[in-house]
Amino acid sequence: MSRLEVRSLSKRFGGLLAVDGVSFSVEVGECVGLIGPNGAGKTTVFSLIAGEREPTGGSVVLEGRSLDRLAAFRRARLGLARTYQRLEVFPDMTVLDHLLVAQLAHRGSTGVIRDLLGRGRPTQTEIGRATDVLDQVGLADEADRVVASLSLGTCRLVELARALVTSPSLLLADEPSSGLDAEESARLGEVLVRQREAGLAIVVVEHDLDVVTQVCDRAVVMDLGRVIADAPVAEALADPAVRSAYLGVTG
Amino acid sequence: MSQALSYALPGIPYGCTFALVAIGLVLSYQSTGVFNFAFGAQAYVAAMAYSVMVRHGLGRGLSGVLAIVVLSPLLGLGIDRLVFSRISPGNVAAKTIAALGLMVGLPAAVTIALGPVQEASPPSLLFDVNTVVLRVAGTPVDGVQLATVVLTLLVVVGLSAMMRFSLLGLEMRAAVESPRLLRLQGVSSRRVTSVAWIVSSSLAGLAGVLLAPRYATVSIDNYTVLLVAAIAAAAIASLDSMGIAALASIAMGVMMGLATGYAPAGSVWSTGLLAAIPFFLLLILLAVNPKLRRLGQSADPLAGVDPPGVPILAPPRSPVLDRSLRIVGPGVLLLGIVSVLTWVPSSWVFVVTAGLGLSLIFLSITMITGAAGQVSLCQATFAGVGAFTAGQLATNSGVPVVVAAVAGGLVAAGAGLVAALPALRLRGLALSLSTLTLALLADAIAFPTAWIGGPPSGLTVPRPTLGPISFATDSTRPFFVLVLAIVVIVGFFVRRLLRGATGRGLDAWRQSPLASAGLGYSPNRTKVVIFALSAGVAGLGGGLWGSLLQVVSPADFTYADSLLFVVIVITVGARSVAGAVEAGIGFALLTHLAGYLPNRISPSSIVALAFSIGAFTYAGHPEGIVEQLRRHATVLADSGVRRMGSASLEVIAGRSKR
Repeated sequence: MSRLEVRSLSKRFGGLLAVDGVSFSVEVGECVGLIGPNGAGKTTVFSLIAGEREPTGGSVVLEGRSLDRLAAFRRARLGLARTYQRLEVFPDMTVLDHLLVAQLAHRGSTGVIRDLLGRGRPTQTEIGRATDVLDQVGLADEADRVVASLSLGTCRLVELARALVTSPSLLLADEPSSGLDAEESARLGEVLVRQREAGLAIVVVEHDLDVVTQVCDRAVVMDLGRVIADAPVAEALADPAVRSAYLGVTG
Repeated sequence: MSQALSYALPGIPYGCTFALVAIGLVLSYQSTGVFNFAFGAQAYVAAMAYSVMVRHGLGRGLSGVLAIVVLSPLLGLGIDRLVFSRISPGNVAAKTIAALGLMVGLPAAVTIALGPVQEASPPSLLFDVNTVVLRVAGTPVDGVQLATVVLTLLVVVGLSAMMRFSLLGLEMRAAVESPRLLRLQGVSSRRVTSVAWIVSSSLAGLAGVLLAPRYATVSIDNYTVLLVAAIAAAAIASLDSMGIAALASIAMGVMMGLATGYAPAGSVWSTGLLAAIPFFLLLILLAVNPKLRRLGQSADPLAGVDPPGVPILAPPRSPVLDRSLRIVGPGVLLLGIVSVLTWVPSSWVFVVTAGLGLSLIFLSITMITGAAGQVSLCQATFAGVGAFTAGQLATNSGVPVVVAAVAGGLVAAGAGLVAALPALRLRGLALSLSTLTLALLADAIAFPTAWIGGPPSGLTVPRPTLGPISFATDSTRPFFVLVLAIVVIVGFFVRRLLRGATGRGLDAWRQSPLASAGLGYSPNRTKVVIFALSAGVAGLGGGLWGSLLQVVSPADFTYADSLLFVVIVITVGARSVAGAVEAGIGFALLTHLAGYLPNRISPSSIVALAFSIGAFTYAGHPEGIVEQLRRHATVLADSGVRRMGSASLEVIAGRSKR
């Protein structure tokens, strides 16, 4: 059973078919690069998988369970985590708070009663887990800084850490390396590789082909809403159709 | 048929009064990007100025010109330069709060300037109410009606043309979309925005002066009711088109004219419900029109260029300072409590107790505004529900007051639940609007009903007796202890909520709804629960407050109180339990102190003005003024302690050298 199965997903915005019958699957411990030129529909595919938008057709299956009728927050509780192309952080919170909030959210219930009983605070285990993840992505020194004061690259790592802290089964990373400097980018690659080896299924939308070759096993190439190639990275990049659509090279 | 016409026709000029204000709302929203809650207050200022000038024999024409062409533009310019130009365009919360501050502050400033007197309504600027100018299908049309219709038409056509066809109109729309992009095109966005404020404020002046003769007295409440009715019309137009807003206003007027004609005279319908038609309409529109839910959200592509201000975290304290504060803080608190219980004169004990009672109501604002970042404008209404329930149960059913107050809290929580269900999908401006509408509905329909708000003479809420202890003695001290105990208990639980998963989750949702859903938060249920709980706390506070006053009436829990309360709590600090208590006691003490000012200055107005000025600067201290001062003081004290510490270290080092 695949970790994630996307079956002929499509999304229409008025007259535009932004996603047109996209299908692919991701196995346990596999990292798939979802690549393609701007406007190919990659981020829309992510928002359909995550449940932020309703698809016009098709379905999404996580670990054999259909997600189709579930709201975004329910999909998150089932182990789907994501980062965003346009940064979505909580600017007034500290880095550590981001990871604690994520874990509190993952507990499931709204917890008003638990709060009133005084059991609503993060536990020592949760704080420990947060510190571990911050260590992994290299943000241990920034734990108590307010996110509004951090650089774009650091914020991307905060988003990544926030996504990883709940030990998801599937990670959707939307252009995680954009805005990162070389050193941060390298660390990002390492983190993703390590997570993949630990069994996490990852889908990355990424423009930096170095990152794609470093972390991805397979590439799903999209153009104008359709999948035009689905193959091991080197093979996909060598595909003539891909070269013409994605790299602008003809012949 | 002719009967229907005779009912419908007077509705047209009536609708035009909404139209003038609705057009003003659309214009100011399109040209300044601010949803101008203060539009009614601006109109009120002009109407007051006109009325006073006419009373002093300045002549209607000259007074009108001075009020509309001189005073109103200056007011607009002042508002722009002193308040809104200091707030970054993307900061929707700060803009809303500043507009609410103006809504509270402007009438207060007028009362301070002119004294707390009722101003009888002035003669009409154009024509006269009593002259019948012409008859349409047998229905008389008086001068004011004619003037309203003609001016409304002129204004709609003129302003629509300006916004659509003139360069200035284009620049105004651009300045709202992205002031930075406009500046990059070589246009001064500040100038454009100032002009926009001048134009919209003049329109407010025109509406104010023109409509003043319609009412018996010039009062801010009339303008607020007019404002909310006009918001309904503007909402039909999605705040997009002045023409549609005007048409919608007139349609609403005609509808109300027809309803008035056909409703049996003297029924509940004709007294309360009819005037409330626009309110119900607005509530429905807010619930169904998705465009309205996004009101006020900035779409500036360059919004990210100006990074948000970095919030100052509570600075770390040196251990010495920390330890001393831990001893000094509770010490001062204990000293205060002991003082109140022993030597403080009983009039002051009453004031402090009132402040504590208020802080319970304020805690309800902390729960919604502090945690979820949503501005609810009907918390005084929930307090009223609590107070009236407690009063009715205690006087009519002989229920012990403490039990009745708790029941009041429960009923208020129920009311909050009902109010929250339609508000479930709302946030930001839309939520503020729907709660303001609910408050006005309660003021107009629910609270004046005898079985809710009690007889016109007021509803008695007795002081409680607990077993052998009676709190009804002349001294308020025992009652102070009771209220203090309740505040401590409620505060303890609110603090748990704020610091637990609920508070953190709401905080996350406030800052990024998308990411918080992506983490597994479902804010809807939490929002409803928090809304109901906060209404319950407000209701309990209202019951105790009523028991302190011993007699309550609908005038104690109006929409204006809700507004003032929100402005006070946000100014002092909405993010913590301490902030609510400081706001409650501070407000009570300040109002009492202001009573020592010269007689003609109304103490409540001066306090309201002070707090509304605090609200203008909200962008600079989102945590509240008190918290801001505390952090500054901590930094100062800390550096002092460190300097002293290092000095003493040097002394020790010096000694050891010798």
